[in-house]
Amino acid sequence: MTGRGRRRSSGFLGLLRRNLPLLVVGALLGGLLGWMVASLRSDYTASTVVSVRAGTGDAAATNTAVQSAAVIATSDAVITQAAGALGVDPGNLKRRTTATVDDGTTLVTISVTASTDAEAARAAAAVADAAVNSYRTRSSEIASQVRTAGEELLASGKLSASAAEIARQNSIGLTVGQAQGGSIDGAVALTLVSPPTQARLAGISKSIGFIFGAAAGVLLAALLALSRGWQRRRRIRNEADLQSARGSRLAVTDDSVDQIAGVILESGQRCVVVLDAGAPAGPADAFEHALADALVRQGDTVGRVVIGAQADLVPAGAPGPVRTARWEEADSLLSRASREKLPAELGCDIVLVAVPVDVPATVLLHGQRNYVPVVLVGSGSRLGDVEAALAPLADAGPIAVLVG
Amino acid sequence: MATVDAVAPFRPESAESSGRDRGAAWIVSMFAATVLLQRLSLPGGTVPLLLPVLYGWVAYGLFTGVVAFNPTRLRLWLLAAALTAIVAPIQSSLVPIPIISLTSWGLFVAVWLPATVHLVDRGRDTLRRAFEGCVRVGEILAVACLVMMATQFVGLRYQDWLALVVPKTFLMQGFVITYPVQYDSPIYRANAWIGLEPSIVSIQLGVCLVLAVLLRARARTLLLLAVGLIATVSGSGIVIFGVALVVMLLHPIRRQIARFFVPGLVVIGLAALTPIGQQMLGRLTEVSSSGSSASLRAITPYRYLWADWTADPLVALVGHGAGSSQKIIEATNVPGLLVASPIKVFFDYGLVAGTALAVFLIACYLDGPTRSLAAGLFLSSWVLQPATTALVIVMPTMLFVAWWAPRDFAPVEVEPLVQASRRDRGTE
Repeated sequence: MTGRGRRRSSGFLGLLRRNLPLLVVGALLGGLLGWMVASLRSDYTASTVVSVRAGTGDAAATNTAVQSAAVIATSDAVITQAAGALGVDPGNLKRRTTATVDDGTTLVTISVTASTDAEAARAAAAVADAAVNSYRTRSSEIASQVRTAGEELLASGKLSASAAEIARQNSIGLTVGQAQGGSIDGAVALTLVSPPTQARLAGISKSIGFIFGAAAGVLLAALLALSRGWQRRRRIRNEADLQSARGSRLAVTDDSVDQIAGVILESGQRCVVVLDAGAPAGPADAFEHALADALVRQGDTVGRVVIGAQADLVPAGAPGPVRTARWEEADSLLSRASREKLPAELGCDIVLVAVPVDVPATVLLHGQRNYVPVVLVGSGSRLGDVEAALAPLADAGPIAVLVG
Repeated sequence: MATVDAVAPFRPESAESSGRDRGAAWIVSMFAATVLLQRLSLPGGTVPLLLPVLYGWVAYGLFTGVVAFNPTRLRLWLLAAALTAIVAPIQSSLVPIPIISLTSWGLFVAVWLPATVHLVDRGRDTLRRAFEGCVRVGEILAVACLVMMATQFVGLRYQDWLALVVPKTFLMQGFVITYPVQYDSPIYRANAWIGLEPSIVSIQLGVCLVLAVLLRARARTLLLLAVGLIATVSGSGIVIFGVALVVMLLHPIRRQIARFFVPGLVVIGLAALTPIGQQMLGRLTEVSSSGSSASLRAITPYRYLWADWTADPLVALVGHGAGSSQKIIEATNVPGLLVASPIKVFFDYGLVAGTALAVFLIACYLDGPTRSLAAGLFLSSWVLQPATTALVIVMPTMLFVAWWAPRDFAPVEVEPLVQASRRDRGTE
């Protein structure tokens, strides 16, 4: 189970490795598209920075004041004032305005988007001015309230006798003034730090658009590479590719001839049908010889039957008896009864029957189990074609061999 | 009363036991790393150290054959990640003032990529060993919580020892490590000193408590985990345990847990008499209070974002941008206001990509070995926790659900597990 898991994992990673060109193309195409879409936006964003003076040393209170300033900067009152100055619709301006707190600072960045850079800069300046004015008005109101309160206090005579005496002695004006100053110091103030000198294109930058697009391209390409339909179009070049084909009990290259012979002998079957699925003729014949030799080395006598055009090409010196057959005889030779009689007819332990893969052959063999199919796959064959060749032979547990 | 007959038969020990040990050890060690490393970060304090550790551990698992890719979840992840990337340039074109964070998107897809693998050996025996190991880790965590509480009750003030020995740049920032159980109290909620927040330790202990019940652990183990959970003074783990318990009651495993009913009530009753218990009881109905922690997680965020969300149907379709909901919520300056998972998924990425993302995320909770824990984690993650990019909150879902799916046996609520020691004794 563990080994299977390892093979499947490497299968997925190997699949991506094999499809590297597809991934690269996906990344480039996606990146290009992302770059283009990010370029579509033609409006501009201008930003202005205001500083919040909280009038307190307490960090939490300062933070609250800064966050509040960001909310107030986009409040209806501020936006309406700015829209009035610009002569635009407040609702529209509000949708185009944001205020964000710069982490770890008392600065608030007010950004406004508009169709031209100049308009964006004007709007950002107007919103910032309105926000600053709003705070200034509030500070004036506080100062006015304190002043009024002081005057009312003096006028009403509610100061205690001793306090009034002290106030008189220490100059009433100074006492009240300090109280007013303290109150004003405690008020939050907004000051302009950086006016909107330069507007930039709104939205993400082209490079970020490229990165998003490239990522999407790679991910979609990987998804495509993992799809069965794409995999079936892939050409088989090595043993790992062949192993990704479904439907074989063993998938190896023609170097593993002893392993193949071992599997055949373990199966106990006396007939091996070697089917050619696009393998070059020379290497295919060489493999059949090598397989016959390997079986002989393991103590069996081997006979060979070659069907069809290949009958003329049987080389001299092949081990064991050799029988050639015309293509017309294929039907009878591949029938179960004929195959079971073949070893006795040729006087050997095992018979190798060589036949090209085609519809009549696979139809005759479909669903039978009393033979070992060996499918010779040529380098460059498509995975889908190989799987199609293996599928009708599934019951017999075919061995797929990459030849050439 | 459960009997031995009611427990599913176990396969005999075989040569595969070392493989099972490897799978179980892989899970237990990752859970232990999650508990131990949750406060540590890569330099800068934003990317958890757990993330590279997790990637290294998954790579090791793939290399050694302990885990393999899950084809279904891998395809769903690729689709969701691709679609959420595709919408970013489109959002940039359509949203009036786009807030699109490449980092936020990258963290999202990176945190969930490890959920695309599963254990190769997902057998019941491996599951039992893994659960047992994780319960032991939970026991140690619970003891640490209790020690932390005990030291405070004897007069030692809470001290963040980890912050004293680890440079600030290597500690996760932006988390409330712990805080007093109530205003002006000298007693801080237990986080075992290593917990990122009491609520996260609560989740870990709540999960362990569910595992312990599924394993029919000894009463002292259950008691230890329950008391440790209470010491965190956080409802996060209790919610997981409560939901899991309800799901268990709907399955045959209810016969197994019936024996815990009376002792459980006694423990709850005794706990309710303590100041911490009173505090916990007070939080049971807090969701109805607008400023409560539960409300700030489950209700208030939607109220803040609904207007923006529904202002423009086209923008609702493509989303406002990765990380935009977080920015907007932060700008409200409401302490404790969190971005719940559905907001993150649908507000940021829109209905189209968000649906693909949601399908992947929900798939991570399906077909695991335990329905009760999956339900508890799902409810917690999708209603109460910002569980899309917080790896430490995502980890239990991977450790106890996704990495075990698809299961090839009946859920443990249908065919209950039993601890090895009990099995060996052959008694209940």
